[in-house]
Amino acid sequence: MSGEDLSDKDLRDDDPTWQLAGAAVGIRALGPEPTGAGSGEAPTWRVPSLGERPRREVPAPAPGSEHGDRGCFVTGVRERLAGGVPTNPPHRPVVLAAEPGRDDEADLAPDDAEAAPVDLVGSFVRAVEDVGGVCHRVEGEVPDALLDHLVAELDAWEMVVSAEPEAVALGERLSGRGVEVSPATPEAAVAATVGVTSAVAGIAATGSLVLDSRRAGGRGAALLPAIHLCVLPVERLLATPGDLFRSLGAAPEDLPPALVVETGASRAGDIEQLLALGTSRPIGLHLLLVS
Amino acid sequence: MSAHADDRRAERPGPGTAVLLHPVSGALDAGPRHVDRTAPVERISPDRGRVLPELVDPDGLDAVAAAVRWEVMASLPELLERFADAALARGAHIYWASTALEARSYVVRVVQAHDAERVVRSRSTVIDEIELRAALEARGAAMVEGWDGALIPEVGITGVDVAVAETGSIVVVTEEGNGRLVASLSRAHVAVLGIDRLVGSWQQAEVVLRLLSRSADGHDRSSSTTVVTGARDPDELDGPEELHIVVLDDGRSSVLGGRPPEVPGCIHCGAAPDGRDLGMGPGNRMGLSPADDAGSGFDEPAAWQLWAAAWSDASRYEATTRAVTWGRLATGTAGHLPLATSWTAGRTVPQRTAERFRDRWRKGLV
Repeated sequence: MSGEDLSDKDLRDDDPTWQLAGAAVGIRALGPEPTGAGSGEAPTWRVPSLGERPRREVPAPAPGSEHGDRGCFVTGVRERLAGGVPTNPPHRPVVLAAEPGRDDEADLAPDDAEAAPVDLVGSFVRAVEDVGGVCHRVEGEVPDALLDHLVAELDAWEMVVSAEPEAVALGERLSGRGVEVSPATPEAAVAATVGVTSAVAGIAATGSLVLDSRRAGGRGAALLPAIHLCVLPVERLLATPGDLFRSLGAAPEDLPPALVVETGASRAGDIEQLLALGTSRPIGLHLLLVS
Repeated sequence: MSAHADDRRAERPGPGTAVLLHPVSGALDAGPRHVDRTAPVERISPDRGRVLPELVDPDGLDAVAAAVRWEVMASLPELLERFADAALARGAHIYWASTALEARSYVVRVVQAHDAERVVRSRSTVIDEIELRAALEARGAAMVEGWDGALIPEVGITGVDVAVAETGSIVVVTEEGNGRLVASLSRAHVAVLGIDRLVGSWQQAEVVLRLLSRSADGHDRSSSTTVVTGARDPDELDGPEELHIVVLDDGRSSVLGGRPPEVPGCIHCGAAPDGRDLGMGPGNRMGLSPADDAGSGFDEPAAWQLWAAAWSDASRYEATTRAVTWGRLATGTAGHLPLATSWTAGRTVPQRTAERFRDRWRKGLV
């Protein structure tokens, strides 16, 4: 597996950027607990940018090729828009630059109050369960009993494991329990019951997992097996999807070929306008939330 | 049809209504529109009605999203070049397609280069727009929608929901996961990018993405949002070896630089098909359709096709909707539009005399 390429520095869970900070050092200073918080300020989370998340170096790709006539295309667009985009007096758009306090690096629009939870862990667990996932909270090492329980409950004896060190470590322990564990090639992944991965972030407001194809060494482990088993260190929780998306421009070279924000088990909300679970794989999500 | 449609169009705010947050509505002074729920939407509207109020200031966010779009349009030529340079640096192949024909021809060449007999597509209106299916079938390649169980499609085609110039990334938002499967499992991923989907920064993209899925179907987030930046890394076990981004104008810049001017405000949330109360056609990409413009009673497929074709020529759109509104061309017996004969062949277009949507819009009445 290519996971060994990762440097120790990149992967240390005691890296200070992952720690819960007691002071308001976060990019987003969250307010006090809404109810029953008693006195004092609530702790503030440091939101790591994508560049601070675990990463590994890859060589620059060969440049792509360009076809068609860029000059003609862009010139045509420029000429057709030369007079500006017309506006209508009744619906004249606001001019963002004229708004007081506008900062190009800041939020263009503040997050929704409900979507920016203060209790990241509690909100995340509830959100995951809302979208059909099962969340197992773990302190420190994942207990043997939980692994035994998962293997038995899922009746899963064939698993594929992606290349994240957290997933590889879990895979080794599962392998010791008689589970057949293999790297997540497409052929192996489609035949396996469970795909084991780790996520680079979790999103508390929506219960989403953020999967990085570069770190995982591919996409199939989270996509093809019927059940997705994901290890997520609690320090990687973000409050809202906006926290993730706004951070993506900071370090373009750290963007993997595929960054997937996956919310719950697969569903088809636009089939008959009903939220249906399991219409596309995977049909189950088990999350190990490790503190 | 017409009487029923008229009935549906009646604005009856009160119990049983849902507030439809529309991307181009309420940007500043117009309040949310109250839409009578009818059968096609009644199961989804409660969700949308539940979720949208959770936004602290849905109209405010709406206005910011509209403003983002206008900012983008003001610098579109520069952003196109920036996007292309960033995507090329990540190994993507870029094709500049001024017309649907050019886009179609390029995609066919990619399919032929891979000697593919089957092409897997995700659900996307821009793929319909370039009329790819017939072109592929004429060359012996079948196009299938969504994932059909094949482990590795040679060529997969998706649309693009948002493209971000600063990183050269494309975002494919999908509810049922087909877009993610197609983008993950194909050897060559062809993404058709309408230039109106481009934004400059991730700050801008985030605003559009936040509105996108909530406006579309009321769910908090789509089940899968895939950010694709370049082709796969060499040591990844799966993923497209080739990423082809077809940058498509196909009349968009003409429309943007002319009329209807509110088009850039559309974020393509997909809610429009649920807005039949407003007389929109199914699959309509905009909250502004020929049916709206001509008044109700347009049969919906005709409205949709008219709208799709209007992209290729803004003046044709203007002329035909105006003509229909005046009722000079379309009658119950003739029912053909002289500038749109292929769309109205076999269809009749009812005579309408209602004031056009865009005229009411200009007056600030809607």
